[in-house]
Amino acid sequence: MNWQNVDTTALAILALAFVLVTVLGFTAVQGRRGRHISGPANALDEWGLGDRGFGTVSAWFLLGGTIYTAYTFIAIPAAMYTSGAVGGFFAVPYTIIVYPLFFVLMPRLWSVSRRHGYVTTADFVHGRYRSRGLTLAVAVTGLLATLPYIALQLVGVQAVFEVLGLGSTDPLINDLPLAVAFTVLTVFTYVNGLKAPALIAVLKGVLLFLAVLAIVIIVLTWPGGLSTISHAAEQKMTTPDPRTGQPGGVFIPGPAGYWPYATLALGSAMALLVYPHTVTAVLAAKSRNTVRRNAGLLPAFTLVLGLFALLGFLAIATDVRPIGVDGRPNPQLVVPQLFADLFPSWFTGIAMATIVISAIVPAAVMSIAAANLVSRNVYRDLVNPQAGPRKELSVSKWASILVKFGALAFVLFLDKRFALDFQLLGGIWILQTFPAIVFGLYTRWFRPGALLAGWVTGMAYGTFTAYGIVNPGTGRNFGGALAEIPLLGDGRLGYVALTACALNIAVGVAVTVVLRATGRGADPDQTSPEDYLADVHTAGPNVRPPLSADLHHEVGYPVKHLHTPG
Amino acid sequence: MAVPPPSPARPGRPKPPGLWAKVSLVTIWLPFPALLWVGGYAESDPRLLGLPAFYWYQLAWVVISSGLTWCAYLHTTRHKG
Repeated sequence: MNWQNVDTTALAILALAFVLVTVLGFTAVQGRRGRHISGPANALDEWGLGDRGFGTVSAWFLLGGTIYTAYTFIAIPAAMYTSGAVGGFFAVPYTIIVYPLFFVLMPRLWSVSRRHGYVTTADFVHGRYRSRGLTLAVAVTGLLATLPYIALQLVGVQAVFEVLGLGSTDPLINDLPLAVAFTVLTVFTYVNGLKAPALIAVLKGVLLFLAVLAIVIIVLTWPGGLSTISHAAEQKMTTPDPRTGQPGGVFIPGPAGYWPYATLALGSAMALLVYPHTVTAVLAAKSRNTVRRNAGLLPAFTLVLGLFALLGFLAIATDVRPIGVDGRPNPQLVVPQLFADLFPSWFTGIAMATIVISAIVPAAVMSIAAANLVSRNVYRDLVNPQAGPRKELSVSKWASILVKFGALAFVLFLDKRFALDFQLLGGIWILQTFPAIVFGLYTRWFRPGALLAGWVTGMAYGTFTAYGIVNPGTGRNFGGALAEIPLLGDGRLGYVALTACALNIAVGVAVTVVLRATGRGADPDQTSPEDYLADVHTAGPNVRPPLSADLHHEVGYPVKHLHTPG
Repeated sequence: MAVPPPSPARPGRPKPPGLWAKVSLVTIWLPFPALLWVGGYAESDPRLLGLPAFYWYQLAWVVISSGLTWCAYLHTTRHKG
């Protein structure tokens, strides 16, 4: 590392922002807890779901901060910069069509989870189908899909440090800032649970909208405006790549790009709804209407994402050189490098802080979501069925540390490309839990054994197909997310995850029909139809207060959530 | 005309769907055909502020879709909470 390359003003502002994040992560949470109960957090609901107490605005920041990750803000413009629309801009239709689905599905999941005290999707699947095998499949898939996602947030942070001049060819010095940032994150998540990232998410939201305001001003005052910018992009995308002789990218998709574009958008939208971190943030909402309102409010973040995506084109127009410390071009550096080139030092610092904080929020929520899967659905269901709330909580807290350091080790000791491959697979895998979870919100018709058979088929098909996609430039496996859709017979490409999910559903339906026709098996179900419409005030035999009631009674605190109707 | 009083026993539940509620629950799905039929908008013209139609059309749908979802929320909700 050479200190002459370090932008000290920007670095100082970034450091200041990080101190602010640390303070927020550790302290402000105390105030909230003070209103509820004294003493440390006692139940998984409080640590892992922020006491299920987030109102419309705080849930909006938390959900937005969780769904729109730093990796998105770095990878989408990077894809726009290198390959254009199909690789990058599909994120916009994806994060539009997800919200009608969110509006109808998530309130049902919230209600049934609230009523039965479910903390994870696997909890719901267990309650609905009473099948240990299917529950474990959903939990393990969630864990496998979440780990590389956390790792990629770290890749985003690394990119920021590298552009600010902290990169070094000495791995120890290169990785030190990342390790420090991550250790702090780990400790405040351990102590305060979901409330820590929820508060930091407010800062993230404010900074993101600030950054976008700056981007809009720059684009509008750019000589020639959007015309020059999109012209530069069009030229780069349509110029043939000397290595392959094919056009360098896609500026506006031709007919061959329609199916890839649409299936990437639809498959990603469906996957997002069953990702553990999304569900954790949804279940933390305080009422059913909080969830429903957020379906209408969250698209504001999609607008931010869309403008960020266009940064990839701006980077082409400004001829940004995303060269890493190793001297090789690295598309992950496009956005941080663009910020460093365009903005004065002080605002570069703010923009870099935005990216780092954008990584911290989802990384924390993801680790909590993964930790809850470990404590509830692996530890309690498999290892120690007698585990009480206290034991669950401590397992969860330790698991959150383990998960985060696992992700850190991933980034520090393994090839970064491995994390990217793994993330690609994660998206394919998590979509294979969609039938069990989402169909389960409406019907108990499917047999758990059939859903499990569908899951196995989808996982196997998705994994092998993704392995078989070879990148024409590098010759490596896991070269992309698109493969020929079988049975159509015309060579159309589609998102592997969605094809695998269609296969998964077909198997699930077929096996269920066979099982039902042969008349074997009963349909045990912990839930009832009205559970899926229940709200905070709806009383019922299964209502669980946000904290275990006996604890409240010990301190003489009224259990305000247990209203009787009428 | 007899208007049934809001049932205090079931706060926060969706209303028995009226006409507008039904319409709004159908229109929230409009973004699906509008965005998944890519051939319908993969064009460069007309441009808006120099941005090709392909890009501004999708950005416009962010706002439209959000509005449609918000309408559906208002038409199917009785109580705040």
